[in-house]
Amino acid sequence: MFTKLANPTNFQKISDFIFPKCFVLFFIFLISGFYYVFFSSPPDYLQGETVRIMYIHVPCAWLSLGIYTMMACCSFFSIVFKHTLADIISRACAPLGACFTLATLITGSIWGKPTWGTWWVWDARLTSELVLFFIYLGHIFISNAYEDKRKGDRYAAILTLLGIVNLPIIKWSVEWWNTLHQPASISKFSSPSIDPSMMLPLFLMVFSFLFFFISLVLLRIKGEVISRKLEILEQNRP
Amino acid sequence: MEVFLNFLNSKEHFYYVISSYCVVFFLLGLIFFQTFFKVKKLQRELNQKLNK
Repeated sequence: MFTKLANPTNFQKISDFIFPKCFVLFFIFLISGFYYVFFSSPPDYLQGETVRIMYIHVPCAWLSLGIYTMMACCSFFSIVFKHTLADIISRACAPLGACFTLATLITGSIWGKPTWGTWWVWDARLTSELVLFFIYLGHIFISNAYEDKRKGDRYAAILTLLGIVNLPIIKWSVEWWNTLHQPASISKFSSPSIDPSMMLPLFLMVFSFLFFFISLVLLRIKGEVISRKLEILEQNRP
Repeated sequence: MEVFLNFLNSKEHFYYVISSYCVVFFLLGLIFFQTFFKVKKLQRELNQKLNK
């Protein structure tokens, strides 16, 4: 199955089938999420109405970490098994990861002003998330820096694998150091500390952003496959 | 509806929330349209080359 999927043409057929469905699901989750965010979820007893920033800040933050994990897996497959599709996926993911990380930083900053009284602090969580943004930018620049795409992909994959040390720092920075940023409200090992009336809109927005990411990454992969086909046609021109 | 009206009347908080939503959806819209038009352009180029 994996060999079949690793063929860009087969992958293209499957992605053409999935893309419209994911985009429709994105809109369904977004509209229902918006309803619960603005018409149903109550304000926080401490933060008041600004808590509604959480419903876009958290999905962006989770996706920024999730996309990087996906890129790291692709980089591993690219270096070890030399799968072209792994490089293509990694290339398609990087700008989206950078976009979600930037959105996390901006919404966090806007949320920080009324909550902490400042737009920015050099806190461990905020700084490590900023480092993640620079790693994404580094990946984009390195993968496009060489005329030979394979060379660029290889160096970008090495950078991604080196940058994976930043992920546990982001995740556990709030526990390892004394930070302004609050600890995780939703943990795998304990019951969540947020109310179900806030949990539902949060997860609706998470799924909405997830489907947006899936549909857009499929579209970007399609673009990358076409651009490689064009390159091959250009090279084989008499 | 009461929740929404309270949110609209929350003055300063309202602007913080709305500006963060605007920024996020502007970024997502930007990357979506950039990707969409780029893929469309590449597809057109490929079709032209294949039909030559």
